[in-house]
Amino acid sequence: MSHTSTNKLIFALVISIGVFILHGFSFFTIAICLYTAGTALLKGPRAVTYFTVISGGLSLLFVSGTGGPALLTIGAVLAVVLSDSAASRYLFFLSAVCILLTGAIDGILPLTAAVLVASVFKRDKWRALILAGGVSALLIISGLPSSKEPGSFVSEEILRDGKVLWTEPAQVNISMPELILQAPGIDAAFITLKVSAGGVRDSNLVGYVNSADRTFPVYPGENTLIIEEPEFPVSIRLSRSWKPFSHPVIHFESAEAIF
Amino acid sequence: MITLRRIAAERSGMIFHAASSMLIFFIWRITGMPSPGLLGRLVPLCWLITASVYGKGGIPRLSIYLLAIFTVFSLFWTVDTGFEVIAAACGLMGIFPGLLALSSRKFGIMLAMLPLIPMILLLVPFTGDEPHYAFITERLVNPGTGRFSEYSSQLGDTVAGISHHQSFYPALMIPGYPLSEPGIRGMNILFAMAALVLMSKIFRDSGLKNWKQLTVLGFLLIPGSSILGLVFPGWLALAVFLSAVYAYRRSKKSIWIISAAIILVLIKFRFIGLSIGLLVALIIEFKGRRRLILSATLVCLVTAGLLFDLFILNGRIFWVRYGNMSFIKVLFLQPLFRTPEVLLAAGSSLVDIECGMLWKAPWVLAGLAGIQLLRKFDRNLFIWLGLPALFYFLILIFWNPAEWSGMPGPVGRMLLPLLPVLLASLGLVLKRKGVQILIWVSLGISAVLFTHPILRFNFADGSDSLVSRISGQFSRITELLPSTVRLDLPIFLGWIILAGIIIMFFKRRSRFAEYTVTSVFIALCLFGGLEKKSWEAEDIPSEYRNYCTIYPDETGLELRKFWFFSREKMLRLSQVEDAVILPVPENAGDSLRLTVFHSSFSSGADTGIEISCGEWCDSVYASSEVMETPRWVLIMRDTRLPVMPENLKEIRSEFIVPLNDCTESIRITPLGLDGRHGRFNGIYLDRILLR
Repeated sequence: MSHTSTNKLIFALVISIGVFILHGFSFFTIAICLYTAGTALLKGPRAVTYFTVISGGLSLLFVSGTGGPALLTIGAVLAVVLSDSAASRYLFFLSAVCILLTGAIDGILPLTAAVLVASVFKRDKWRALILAGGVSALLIISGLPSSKEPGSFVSEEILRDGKVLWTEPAQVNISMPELILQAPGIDAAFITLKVSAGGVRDSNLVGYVNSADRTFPVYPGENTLIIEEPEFPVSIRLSRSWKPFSHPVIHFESAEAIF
Repeated sequence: MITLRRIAAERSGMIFHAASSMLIFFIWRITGMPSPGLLGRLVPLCWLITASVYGKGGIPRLSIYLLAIFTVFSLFWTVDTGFEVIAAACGLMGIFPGLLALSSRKFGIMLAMLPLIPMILLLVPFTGDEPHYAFITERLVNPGTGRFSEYSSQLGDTVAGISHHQSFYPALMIPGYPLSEPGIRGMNILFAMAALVLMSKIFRDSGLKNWKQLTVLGFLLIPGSSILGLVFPGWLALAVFLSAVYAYRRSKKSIWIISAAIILVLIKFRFIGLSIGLLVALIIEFKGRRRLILSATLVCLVTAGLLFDLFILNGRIFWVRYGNMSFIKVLFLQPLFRTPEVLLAAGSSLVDIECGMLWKAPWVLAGLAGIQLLRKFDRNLFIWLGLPALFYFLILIFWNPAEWSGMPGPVGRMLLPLLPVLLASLGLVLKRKGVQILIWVSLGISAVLFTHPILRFNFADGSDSLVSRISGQFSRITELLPSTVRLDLPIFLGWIILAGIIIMFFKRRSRFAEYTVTSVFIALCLFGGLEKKSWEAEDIPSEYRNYCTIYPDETGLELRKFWFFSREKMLRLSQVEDAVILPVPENAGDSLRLTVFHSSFSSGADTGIEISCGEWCDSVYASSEVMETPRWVLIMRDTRLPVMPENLKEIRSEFIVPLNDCTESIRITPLGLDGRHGRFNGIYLDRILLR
């Protein structure tokens, strides 16, 4: 092993110890350590090493969410294609397996399987081909990978002149499929919501507004919804999941509740 | 068949870019990424334009990697809200290697800019100073029509008839006016092209080997990219400055420098630093008696200019704003009474999270490392590019330490005149280990700001829009990043020292440079990923509070312009329903020390805050006094600070919260709100610490 490789491995070891001390043991932290070791042993273009370092580092920032595991998976997939070192490729594969075991991301099994098969091959063209197949399989079998716990966003409410106002525009899409409006301690007479929906190729329902057990549809185009005696939290949800050539979105413009 | 194969071999780069354009277009649609109609078309268009101007040449290997990164990120875009930003940026960044390769062709620098033009014209919001300059142009061409008049509320100074902006620069944009916004922006693209061509010629003349690539990097990297094609006078000033340097170095005629010095002041008074630097460089160039004659001539010219301004232009350029007692007072107040602010501003230009170059353009570290090499390599170039940049920077910082950055304008726009000297220096350290990562990270950030231009704008409130978008609301990273507005001196100084160490390593060609950059990055992410235990009150997300308002709630900076003690916004609890509800940190133990920094008006009634957690509750009643007026403010004007929230002394309240009965959340509510202070009534929270 070269002098540089030894240095890199020591560097990776120090980072791994730091990760375990600060973030404890979990499948995710084990994945980070395997990923770090894989990066240390990576043989390939310098740009690839830089990329794996950056995505690995950024994944640490997202310890509590699903962004971190996703970044590690992305890094591992690309490193498996571009690393000439078999040891490094296996480590990246193991890292991807640990991410799979965390269960943070739904639907990455086909991709992880493709990473396993690809990491065995010596020629990078074969590895690229197998992973491209893996990506296709992923899209066909499980669709786009998604977070186990879909994200939601709580809109900022303002209490003014006997009204509760939500003035901050927001987007509800597949990445953030729910927007929540809350008005703690207020019994509102009615709420008026202005939303517009689009990004689809038909005129069917894009999402709905939910207040307790009442549901109101949101169709493509401009929608103004008035709900009498709403029960909070009121949520705006996307009803469509991922489909090729479809970009469903609900633009929340504003809302006003009068009590 | 042979011909086709030959064409494919010779023009593989062009075919690759065209095919990638289609690939990106379809991947965008297959994965359902947002903004398919605009960004989903503009990014492929950039690739298509690159293909059309690429000519003969191979496939840039880096473009393939970036295309692969785009593909994988777009697959995962639904997992995190920051991923679509990264995916789009990688999609655009894929053309950058091609643009750098293009630079070596004939007209390569201009051709390399073409793919970015649609993105600049269509995506960047027409805001800030842009409509204002456009309005002045309109007034010069067609007074009475109102294409840009709806923006007239943005007029600068209140001095009747005297605009904050001068008319020379808007006058130069008249040819673009008939085409409205794209035309006016198009003129600025021409100014930028002129500046870049001149810069490349200066670099070529001084013998920099990679002069073409450096020039392309000049507009791809921040600060060059931040206002590329936007209606700001920076690129025009750079063109004038560089044309003078280029012409003088070729002809040795001082008239070029003197003319440029005058024109720069006419473009915008801010560029007087460049003028002074040019003239000082000219004086240094001259020897013996000629130097004396030149100095005397310059004094006469400045006097004549000032008299011309006073009698002919009614003081529009200098006297209205600077020909008064306040101006003279500022000249001695800044170094004597505001030294810390001036030093802080100088440091913030490098490390501040909102406007510092370290975070938006880390390549600047390598540029700074190469400055001494530039002095040895070509002393004449070093003086001609360095002195004007230095004078410009010092005057900028000295004159307005609180607002030098020009926020909320695009980040880095004020530092554009430093670009040539930093690029020339970068050219000398380009091959050193670790420099490439700084350049590619900078290019990545630049690509993010091209595809999501809204992230260029910061509001001097201590939070950076790009970091917030990528890391989310719950990340601890903001505590570790240096901010002038939310000043934490050890963090701020620590980053300056770190930046200094990295610069030194690059300068000495140390093998530790790369390791240091990586270690700093990893350590930042490692600690930034820990659970958040300190909240800036105004950053508390809406799910952790009931109602409450941000004070002041306007996004404009004008309202906070005269906040002397801190320009941070605050969280206002002004109604009984208002509350902050923070989650109890994991592994908190039996008790928790809660520190609340807040201020409230003295109203006579019992005002304060109540902390509750499960069955337990405690409260503190206190009200703030008004701070003492800073001495320099009293020297400027005999005045007292108005009784407003921003001028109140802060109260620090500490609570030990027992966690036996409480495991979920801690609630902070206001007490004793009597409404006697009208619109300012309430408790103003600044910071909450959970230890």
